[in-house]
Amino acid sequence: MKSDQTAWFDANLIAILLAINPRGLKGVTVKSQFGPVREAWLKYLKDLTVLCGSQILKAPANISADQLKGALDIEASLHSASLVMSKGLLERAEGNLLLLPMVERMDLQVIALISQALDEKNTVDPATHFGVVAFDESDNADEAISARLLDRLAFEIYLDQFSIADINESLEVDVQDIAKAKKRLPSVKCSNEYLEVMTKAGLSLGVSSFRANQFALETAKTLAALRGLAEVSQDEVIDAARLVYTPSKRMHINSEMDQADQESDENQDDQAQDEDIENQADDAQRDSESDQPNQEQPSKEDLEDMIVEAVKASIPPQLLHHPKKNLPAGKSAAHISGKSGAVQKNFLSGRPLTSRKGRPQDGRRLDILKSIRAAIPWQRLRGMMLDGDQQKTARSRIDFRTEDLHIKQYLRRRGTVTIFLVDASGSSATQRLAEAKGALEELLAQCYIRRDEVAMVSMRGSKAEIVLPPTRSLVRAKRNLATLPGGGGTPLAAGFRAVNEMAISLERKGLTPIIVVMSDGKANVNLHGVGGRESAHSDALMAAKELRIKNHRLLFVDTSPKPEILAQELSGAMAAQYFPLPFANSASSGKKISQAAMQLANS
Amino acid sequence: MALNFPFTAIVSQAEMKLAITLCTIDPLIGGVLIFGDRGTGKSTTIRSLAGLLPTMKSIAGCQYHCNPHSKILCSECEAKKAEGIKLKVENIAVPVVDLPLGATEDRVVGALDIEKALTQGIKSFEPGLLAKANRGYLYIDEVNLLEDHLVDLLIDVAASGENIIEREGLSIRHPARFVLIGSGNPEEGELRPQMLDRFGLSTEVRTPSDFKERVEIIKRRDEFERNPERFIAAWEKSEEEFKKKISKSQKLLDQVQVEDELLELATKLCAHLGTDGLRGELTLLRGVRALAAFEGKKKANLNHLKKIAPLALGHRLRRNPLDDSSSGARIDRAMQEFFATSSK
Repeated sequence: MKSDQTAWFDANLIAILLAINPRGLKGVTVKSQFGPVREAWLKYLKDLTVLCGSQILKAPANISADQLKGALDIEASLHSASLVMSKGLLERAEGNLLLLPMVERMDLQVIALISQALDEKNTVDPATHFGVVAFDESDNADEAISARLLDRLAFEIYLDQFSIADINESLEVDVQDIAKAKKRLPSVKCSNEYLEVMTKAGLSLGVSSFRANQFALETAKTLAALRGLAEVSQDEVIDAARLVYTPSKRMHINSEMDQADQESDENQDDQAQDEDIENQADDAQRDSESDQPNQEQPSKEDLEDMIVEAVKASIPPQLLHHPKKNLPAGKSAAHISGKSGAVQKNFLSGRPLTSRKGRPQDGRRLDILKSIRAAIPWQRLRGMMLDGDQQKTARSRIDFRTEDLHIKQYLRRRGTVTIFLVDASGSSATQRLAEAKGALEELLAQCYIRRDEVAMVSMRGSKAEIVLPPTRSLVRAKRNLATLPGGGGTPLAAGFRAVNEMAISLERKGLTPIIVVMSDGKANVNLHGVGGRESAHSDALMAAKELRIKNHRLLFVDTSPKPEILAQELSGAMAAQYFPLPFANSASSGKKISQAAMQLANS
Repeated sequence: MALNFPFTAIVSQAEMKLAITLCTIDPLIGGVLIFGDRGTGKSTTIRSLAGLLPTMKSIAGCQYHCNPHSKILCSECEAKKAEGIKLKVENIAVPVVDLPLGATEDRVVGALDIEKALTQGIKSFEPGLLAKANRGYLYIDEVNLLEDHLVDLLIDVAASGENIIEREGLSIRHPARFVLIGSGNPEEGELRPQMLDRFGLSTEVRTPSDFKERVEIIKRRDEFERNPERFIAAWEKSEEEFKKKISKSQKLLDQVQVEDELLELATKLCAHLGTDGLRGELTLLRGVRALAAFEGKKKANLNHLKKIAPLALGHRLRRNPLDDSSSGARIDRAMQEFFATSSK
């Protein structure tokens, strides 16, 4: 497998580049499951960093903000009777690489701290730079690495595509080469012409963040340094663009571009998008033709084309699809184990947050460590305030006061997620979609205080797709819903499965899902994507029963002109609240639906 | 001292730069909120603000940089004054304080000085970020992700201009007047309406799609990263000029006249847009004045009003969940309607 071999070399190359220039490149996101390939890559990087005289520090997966920033070291403080702060991981990471496992599960605050440190330490003060290696182990679109961090790291590699056979050979590097490259790096130049080409190619590929452009430049320079050149040449430019302009840096942008020019039509599939990019590239070329006289060898335009081609060629085909848009339709209920009710919400559990002052009432748990920590500084002062007798008795123990008590806090997400399953098929699609949108926005507009989120899954053609992942952001909801396509068959079964899975994964996170199904109940595509009313309906019934087993809160909105037996049957099968809603004006029916959903949430 | 990218070297993003400039001319405007996508230079611009600010007079040794000419002083300075001790005055740089996401309440409002308690057994107060930011700027990156209890706290302090600490046996109050500057990405979460209202101006930034601008940005950034000192030195002249322009505008500010007619128009505009509260009008007025001063005019005119209105009112519109257009577009539309009818 030749292409995989080169891709593996690319992964090697990225490790080398990172070892040379952690300051400018900042890090890499590794999208992969745990396995020999990732281990091999990590070992490769480890060896390199050791050669460079630094090391890889691994952060615990449940790292807290205190651990990152450093906190009071109780033991040492007690020993020395003075304040001793432990060194935070961020400080220890200076000059080294910081490895973040399971980055998709990390606390938002932790991610924010790390990205802030990346911004500050790596530019403001050159002595404190560090690099980040983020392991993203997410396997579905529900959980993904925070875009904030993704944007701040130069590279992104996908290791799941490799088999062990692909990684037998790795790029070999000489210690001296790396040392030399490090030394040479600050003096490497990049001509304006190449810089322009890279930026322009990025623009035509749909890269909008400036960081990506900056990273491409930095990569080109590092490559040149590695290859012993004093100036960036054409090869480095192409390689750098290939390595940096990875799909996630671009796809994210594509949807925004669609937004930017509103008239671009809704029904854009991937091919159309590709054409779009090409058109833009052409436009950009035409614009530039007048600017610059043709240079020797390949002209600027050719080079730009080459870059665009190189970047496109390097994308593994399975990644061409936006992960969020193309969630496998009804991934089968394989992972649903038999024990229903296993996912119980416990209001006293969740992801730990920093403790707060308070008394352990209502079953809240006392944070003993934190309470001791709060009491320690006061011991001397309190000791002095006590009179002699009391002092003798209190001597050996820690003198606690109520104000020292801290209680543990957990992040349990309050509120609910309302998942809309919308039948976007056929002729009446626009009307129904408008209603669903109305209901969804109505809910969102009121949900700020309630901390609710909404999501939307649409059924169309032969599959169900998540058009709006759970969000609280009105802006994002509008953006995703503005170009919601309609038409095609009604794969009810697939839709039920998709919302079921989504609801289960939300429950696991401690949220309460509420499912609102908007359909006329007339399924005509079965689970295998084949048309036919009867098999479609029996599949839908089956999927509806699956929903019932999971005990979700459901609202079935019958959108047919008059109450439909099929819909009632389905609604009964999933034990949903049945809500007939003949056509009406979309704004008012939106309100009705949202009210019903909210009642359901409060019940 | 941290090396910051020079303000004047920032390419394009005119609206964001204008909003920040106006706030430095008249801090009473009440801060700027900047919303935008990742990688648009929000943080860079705000951090560069520190370099633009002129020095200010402060009572020497005061932890809260009390203003010697002000009547409101912190309790310590007040006590000294009462005892008849002469307060020394020094020139200090205007503080620009970063409130990092994930800062603890202790860090923000201040807490017991643990070191002193531990080593000397003395109960003393260690001022937090709010004290540090007094008379300066408080920058909150990712303001929309700030924890709820901190948001409550900030709302309260920003409204009262005073930080009150009643905890750990401490009972202290000190002035905390600061200009709030916030940035964030609206896709990651919405900001509480009360908090939104505390910001005087708001602006949305986008990535410039013009490729020449982009190239220029990358070039400058690269130059800066390569050798920050040299880059800053190269821009020093323009920074100085800009600084001068700002202090000139500050002096002119009091002389700027806003005629009643213009004021009336502003009020009508607010009514037409249906903004909540009077703060919109006030900010509009102050913004117009600052803009006129910045342009060296002694009289504010209609163009100033038109330029300020989107900045001052964009985030005060009632949200209409069924209206898809951005607040900027809505303001533009409403203004067109408004000025078309009022010119008749």
